Amino acid sequence: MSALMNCRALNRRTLLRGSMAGAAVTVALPVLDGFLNDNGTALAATGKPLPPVFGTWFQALSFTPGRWLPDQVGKGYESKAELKPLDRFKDRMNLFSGMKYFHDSRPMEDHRSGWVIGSSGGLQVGSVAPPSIDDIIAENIGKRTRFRSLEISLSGTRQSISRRANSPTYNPSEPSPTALYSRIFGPEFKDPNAAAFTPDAVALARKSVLSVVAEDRKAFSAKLGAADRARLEEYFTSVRQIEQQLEIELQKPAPLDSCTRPGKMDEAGLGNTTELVEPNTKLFGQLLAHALSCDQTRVVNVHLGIHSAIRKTGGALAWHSLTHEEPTDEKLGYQPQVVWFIEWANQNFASFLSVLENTKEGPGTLLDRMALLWITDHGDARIHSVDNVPIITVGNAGGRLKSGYHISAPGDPSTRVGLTLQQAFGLPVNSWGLLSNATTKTFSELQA
Amino acid sequence: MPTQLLSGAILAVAAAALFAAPARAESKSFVVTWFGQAMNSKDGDCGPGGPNPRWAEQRLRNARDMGLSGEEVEKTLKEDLAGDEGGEAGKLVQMSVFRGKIDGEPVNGYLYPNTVVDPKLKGLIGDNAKFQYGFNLDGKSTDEDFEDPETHQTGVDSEFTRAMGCMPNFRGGLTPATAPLEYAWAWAWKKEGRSAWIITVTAEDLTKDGDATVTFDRAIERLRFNADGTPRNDSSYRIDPSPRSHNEYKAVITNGMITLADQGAGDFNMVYNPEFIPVIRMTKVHMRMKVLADRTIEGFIGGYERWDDLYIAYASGGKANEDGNAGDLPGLYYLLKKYADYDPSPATGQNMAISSTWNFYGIPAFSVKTESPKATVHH
Amino acid sequence: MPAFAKESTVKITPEEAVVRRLTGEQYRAVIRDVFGPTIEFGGHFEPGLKVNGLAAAGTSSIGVTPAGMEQYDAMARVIADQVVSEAYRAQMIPCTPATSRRADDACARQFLGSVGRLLYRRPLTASSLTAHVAAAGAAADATHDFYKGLALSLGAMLSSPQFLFRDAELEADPENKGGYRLDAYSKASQLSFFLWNAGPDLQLLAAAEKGELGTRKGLERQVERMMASPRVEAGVRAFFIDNFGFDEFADLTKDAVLFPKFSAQATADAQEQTLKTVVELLLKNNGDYRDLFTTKKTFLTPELGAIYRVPLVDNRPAGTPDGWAPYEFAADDKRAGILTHMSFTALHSPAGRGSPTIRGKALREVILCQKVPPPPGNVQFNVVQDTTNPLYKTARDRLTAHRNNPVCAGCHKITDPMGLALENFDGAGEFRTTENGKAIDTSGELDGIAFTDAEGLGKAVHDNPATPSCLVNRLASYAMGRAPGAGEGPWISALQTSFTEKGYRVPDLMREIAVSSAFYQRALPTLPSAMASAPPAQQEAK
Repeated sequence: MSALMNCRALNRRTLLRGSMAGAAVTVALPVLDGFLNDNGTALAATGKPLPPVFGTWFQALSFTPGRWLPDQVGKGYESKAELKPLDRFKDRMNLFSGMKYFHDSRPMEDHRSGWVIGSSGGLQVGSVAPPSIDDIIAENIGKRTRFRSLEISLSGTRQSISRRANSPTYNPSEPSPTALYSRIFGPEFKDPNAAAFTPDAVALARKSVLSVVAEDRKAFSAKLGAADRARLEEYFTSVRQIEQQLEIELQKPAPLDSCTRPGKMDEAGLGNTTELVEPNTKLFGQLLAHALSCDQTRVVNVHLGIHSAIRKTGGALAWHSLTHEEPTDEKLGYQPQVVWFIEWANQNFASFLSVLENTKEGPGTLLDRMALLWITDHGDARIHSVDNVPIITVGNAGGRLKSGYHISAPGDPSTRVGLTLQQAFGLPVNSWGLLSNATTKTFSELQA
Repeated sequence: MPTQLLSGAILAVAAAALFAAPARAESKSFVVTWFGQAMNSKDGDCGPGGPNPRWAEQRLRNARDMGLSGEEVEKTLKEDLAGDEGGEAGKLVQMSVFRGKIDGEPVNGYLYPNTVVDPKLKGLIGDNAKFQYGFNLDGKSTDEDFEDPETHQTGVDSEFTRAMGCMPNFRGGLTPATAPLEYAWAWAWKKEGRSAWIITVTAEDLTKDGDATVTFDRAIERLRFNADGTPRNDSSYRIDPSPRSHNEYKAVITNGMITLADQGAGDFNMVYNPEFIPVIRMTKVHMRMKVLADRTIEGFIGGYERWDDLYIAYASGGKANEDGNAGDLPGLYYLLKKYADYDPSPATGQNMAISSTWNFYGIPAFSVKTESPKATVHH
Repeated sequence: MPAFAKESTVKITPEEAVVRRLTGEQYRAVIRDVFGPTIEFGGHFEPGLKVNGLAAAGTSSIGVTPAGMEQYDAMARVIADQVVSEAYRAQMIPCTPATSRRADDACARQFLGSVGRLLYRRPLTASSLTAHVAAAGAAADATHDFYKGLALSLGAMLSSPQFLFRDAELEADPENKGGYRLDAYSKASQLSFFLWNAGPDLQLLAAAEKGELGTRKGLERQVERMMASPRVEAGVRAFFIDNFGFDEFADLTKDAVLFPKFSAQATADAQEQTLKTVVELLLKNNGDYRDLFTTKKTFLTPELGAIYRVPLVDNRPAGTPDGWAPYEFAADDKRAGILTHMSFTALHSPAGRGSPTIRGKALREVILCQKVPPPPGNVQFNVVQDTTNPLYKTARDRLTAHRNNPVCAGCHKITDPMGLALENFDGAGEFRTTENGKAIDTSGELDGIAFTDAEGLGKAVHDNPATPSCLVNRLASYAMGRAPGAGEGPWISALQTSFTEKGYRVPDLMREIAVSSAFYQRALPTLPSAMASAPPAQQEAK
């Protein structure tokens, strides 16, 4: 490699080009490469991988400036204090910094504007509200499960950030673990391993179309010279892969070995105090783990609570009020009570992730095939800024998303993360977001 | 596209043509990147007991002012905290919002602050509060007046600072990093939603002592930002041709400091932010500013300001602004009313204006006049 | 009708015919032409391959990877579903089925035949049309939906090699006995992708069908028609986007602390600034190509105004905030020509600083078509890369120190003296006059011509004979989808002579390439070896 290239950041695309330069080229990826996890073991007995799962986690009020942004970018960064509770998931996480929510000079609605942009890629333009990212992804992966998506709230409200396309309202969250249990595992629950399998009519039709036009396609290469024919061979190999994927879709799905119906659970009572949120988070985590293992849904949305809600029992002020009311401790350089809540919330998030990680599926865990998008409303909640908002993803979406990075993208719209995720989930999209929040740039270093 | 061609050649000609007087006039424009009330809080400047309590505590005092006994307040608080919304939306909060009273009936205390019992919050007091930024507006110098910590001018009138200086969220210093929460919040949250302000200084030679002209204008464009959220230098802004936010002053340059030639003679009117303070209106305006080596500016502008403009700005957010930012709103109303020091109402004798000083920072920008057929540009 | 010079019939030894994969932009152009501008694509295209710095030259050597195929397949279905959707079908489909619940072969044949001709850029063979009608029928029956069936068959067309690759069918060449040339339809594609970066329109297909493209007169008539169309701007833009390597902006990052003005909007505007300058000078004003390197006229947005530190507002009565305005730098301004554009200075800089070496190398390779040898291994670049060393405040200081190593000196002589003239533009293209507090010396030299600043560099590039001949080479490579072969040398030489004689007018050069017989002449491809020569169908039968 030329040393001049040393001066420039290498990335996947330049490497790809470098490796291809000159040669007449095939960069053939192994069949289904995109579906394999790091061990290459995610394929179940039938050859069909377990489906990827998308989730969102909304946690208002951001982190404290100076207490979360790592000094290093890339892999192997060192977490600052407020992210320490998530350290054991660092290899499965990506942390994004520097990006912002653009409100394009429309009036800022307290807190709300931030999370609307974070979840829907922009504020509503005209009369049509944009769908939230979970709905965009559910449109692609959530149609064949019993629940298109599940929304839960950890602090007793029905708030959610999930909105269907063209819907004037948000999908209400389920605040009660008991109620969610009945909804999923009540009398209507059918063991997915026992259910009859009907192949999808469209997939069947696609397969027949491919076989009918196969000869016509081959006719094209029949006239070609040796070099061209070798190139077209790659094309036909790629087509065969599409056919194999269809073949898999038309088979009865792999048995969901880890699907079990959970025992009935007792909830601790609903409410917005940290003492209640903690046990309910674990209960919800277990319920969702069972629901996902049984493929009842492939999209989940978790809402920690509206900005003004979370508090300690007996605490006069909730987390939100403290962000404005609590003086910055001059010696510490931050608001100690606010920091307590942030670290508590991250600890709570970690405990939720642990439940998913402890749900074993074959040689891997449920978290392997998930990608969870963590978003917030502000960069600095104290002054309601929307610059430098933290964003986190957790999980590899079944090998589709790389992890372990801290990525800094100052001034870019936050939608770059969402677009990267949409593409990781196989959506045929090349842009996302409205007005200044629109982007066509993904984080290609994360694309598996 | 009927856009005007802006060439370097036209630039030079136009700059000379606008201000007809000096043959080789030089102009520099700046876009304002910070505008907040100049505070200079020091330990001990609120006397014994320190600053006024934060709102969470103040509302308990208000409940007692409304006739609840100490025991009743404690009991209600306990009930509130056990409730779904905790201390945030319980009975005490409701009482607090409706703490006004007309004909014995509770009314919204933010709309009718004069019907709320004055919580008698305090203003700055004592020697520790002696140094405050500003100007001697009334030409008198008394023991009550402040001294400017930079210029050491005495007789400084800055009663707004005195009135608000002990409100926790108004305490702080000048720079955006040390500024009071109320202004840091108003800036960070609203900065991208309002039109930029442009300051232009014109003189024969800006590096020498002599006469100058200073204008403060509102731009049509919003302030432009860099990728990291900091304001962007060398951007271009069109001057809003509407006269309502155009302020033009004769000025003098002395040792690099630019001051108004007739301090106290003019007014200052500027459309600010409809979500915060809609219009800033001052009379008997004083100003000083300097251009720093890094091409940025810093300065102060002060005068007498309508205090009801300020109260309405803070109170328009209602409870959210009371608990989140400004603090006890009716208390604030009484503070402003008490310390108002100018323009007595003919009917009541109550002063309607309060002496006040804002500090500002700016970075280099291009300003473009739009009303003339040829664009004129200053940098 | 302009008379075409001798270069249009110059004798050459042609290269083998090869098929070329559509670029992403060409794919989109064909779809928009066939189904209208409101079709949404979804999906993203796998990156192309650059050969000699041109993606167009890579189209002759890439296939389709499995990951790329997944995207083509998904996009094809997204597009096809829109075409048959209730909102579109009345405009798109010329007939109505007897019942929408079942197959209707007649209606499917009518639609797939007419659409297929545009997508494949030639009429479908009878067997091909029959296969697609049958596919639509089978799918309609399986889904109980005529339109779904039609969509699936259309989707198959959109992921077929006939659509994704530009074919190169040959016919005997009457002008060169024993030789071959592209047949009328392959010729039509060759022509329209070159001039418009889009597929042939109905008129061009009709001309191919009637045999008009086989005659010199007929070909010239079509070329004139296409050059007079506003669509030629898309063709010119596509070439210069490829030529200047603007695709690399997608991966360009800068240190935000050092270059806070560098943003997504700024990089988009930077490319557009250069393209607008190119289109205005070369196409609208039919100007001298070499003037691109000296012109003081350009177009700016407020975003770019702040970067170049010049006043720029959109003064239209109801102006959009980021509108474009023409701008002319003052006569005594150092800024002149596209080398001083952010699209050059920022693109050819590392993330945290400017680099005269990288800029000089880009100038040599992109503008002058000269290969700069790579540095030897094991070279220490610390001195060059450390911009905080108080001993070496400017890039010139650092490079001088680096050149004390005689191994490095030789190569740096090739790149640095011209790169240093652009030091008034930092690593993100922002104008500056000092670096680390020290005044910047922008003097330099290019092939024996000394100058003192960027304007002088622009003049030297303008006057350098390699500048226009490089453009001819690159435009011909772009048009052919590969570097010219040795046997095609006489044609390139003839084009270069003509380009010079006609005053370096790019539209004239495009015309001349388009009417040249050499542009369409091909050798028969080497057939596959005995084993592989059997058609695929027979292979499978074994």
